[in-house]
Amino acid sequence: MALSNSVKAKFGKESTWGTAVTPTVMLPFTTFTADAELDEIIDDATRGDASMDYATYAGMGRSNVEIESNAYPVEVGHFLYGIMGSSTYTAASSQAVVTGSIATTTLTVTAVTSGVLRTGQVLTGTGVTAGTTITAYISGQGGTGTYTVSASQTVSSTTITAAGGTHVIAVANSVPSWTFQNDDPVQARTIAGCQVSSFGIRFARAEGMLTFNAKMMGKLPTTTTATTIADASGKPFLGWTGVFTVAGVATASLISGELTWERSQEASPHANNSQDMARLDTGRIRYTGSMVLDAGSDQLAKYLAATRESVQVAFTNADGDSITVLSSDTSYLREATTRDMGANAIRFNVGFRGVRNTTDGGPCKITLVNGRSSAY
Amino acid sequence: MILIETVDEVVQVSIGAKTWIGHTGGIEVEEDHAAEVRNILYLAGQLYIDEDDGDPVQPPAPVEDSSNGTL
Repeated sequence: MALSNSVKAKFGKESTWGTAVTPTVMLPFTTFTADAELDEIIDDATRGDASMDYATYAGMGRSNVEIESNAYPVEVGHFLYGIMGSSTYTAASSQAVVTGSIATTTLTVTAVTSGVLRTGQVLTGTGVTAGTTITAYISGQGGTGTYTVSASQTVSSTTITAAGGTHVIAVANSVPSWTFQNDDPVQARTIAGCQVSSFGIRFARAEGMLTFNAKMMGKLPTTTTATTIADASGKPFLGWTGVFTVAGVATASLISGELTWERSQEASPHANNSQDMARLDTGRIRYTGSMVLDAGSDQLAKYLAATRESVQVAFTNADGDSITVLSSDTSYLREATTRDMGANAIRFNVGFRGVRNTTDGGPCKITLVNGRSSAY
Repeated sequence: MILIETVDEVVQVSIGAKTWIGHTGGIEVEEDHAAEVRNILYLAGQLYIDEDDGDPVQPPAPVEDSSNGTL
């Protein structure tokens, strides 16, 4: 019997669509499915008796990958970049200041002045080789202890500053692809050419963490030897940290919500003497949201007046990471702008749609601040 | 190659499968991709605009994908 608790989901960004790469990221998940699918071609030509099907053949194939997880600050960015198409990285201000030394590739931290150390952060300090990053935890878990760093060096005990990055994620015409690895104990498999077709973030003030769901399509799976990657996920964003801002004014009315990005996808239809797709075409993106709000402002009036305004949702975590989703031009949706008077307080169910605007360069723009020190 | 000046140093841009890594002076980009990279930098607030030029700052127009989506 193979237990699913030993399954791991891993992925790596491809340089060329469909050309498999070794995964570099391990993603903790709550659900993970990777289904191979072959079209069924049926020979049902009439041959003089009552049977309908005389033969079946395997047609074109694909993999459908779906993963749900908590919104970890670095990992969630891969999928947002995956559906939006672009990311811009700049170094964030200091996220941690520690006292430590480095021997070969081991950083030993003896004291923490401020902040938290995480994988991906760039280290600076007297004698520290430029560009050195934290690549893995050893005994440290963000504070004192030992860590693996990217460059071998000798550094005496000194003050070391660790910085991550600010990532602005915006719409672009082309999107990245990943090789996913389904590392399960029965047989590890690789799925190349995965691109995101749908991505959603859900949150509720009273119900724990932000969670996300991503759907992808990729090529048919191939067997592989599993890659070993350590878990490097940070602290997830929590629902109660959410700040909801409408037309530039923060409001405490947000109870729960869901943000959804959808991007059309089509496997190349041309024949190339292979059951696997030769190309995956990605189309345009749509951004919508739905929220439950305390009826502090009259959202219905805004709908009736066809109000267009900016809507921003932002979350932070205990490490100072943040995610901000901004749509500078939002219209309200008829089907979801309703009042619910079944609870103790009147609630609005508000739906909205991000409209393409020049500030966001699309229907929305996302800013992530986290421990990653390079572009996605 | 075209040099696009950035506000901060060592800015990195990813579009699709492609990544450009900047240096002190900005980001060097192939001519085919310059318009889209400029657009993405503008959206991120990282496109350096010389105010002495006297030209009003305008957001870049939507970019046609010269690579047909296959960066």
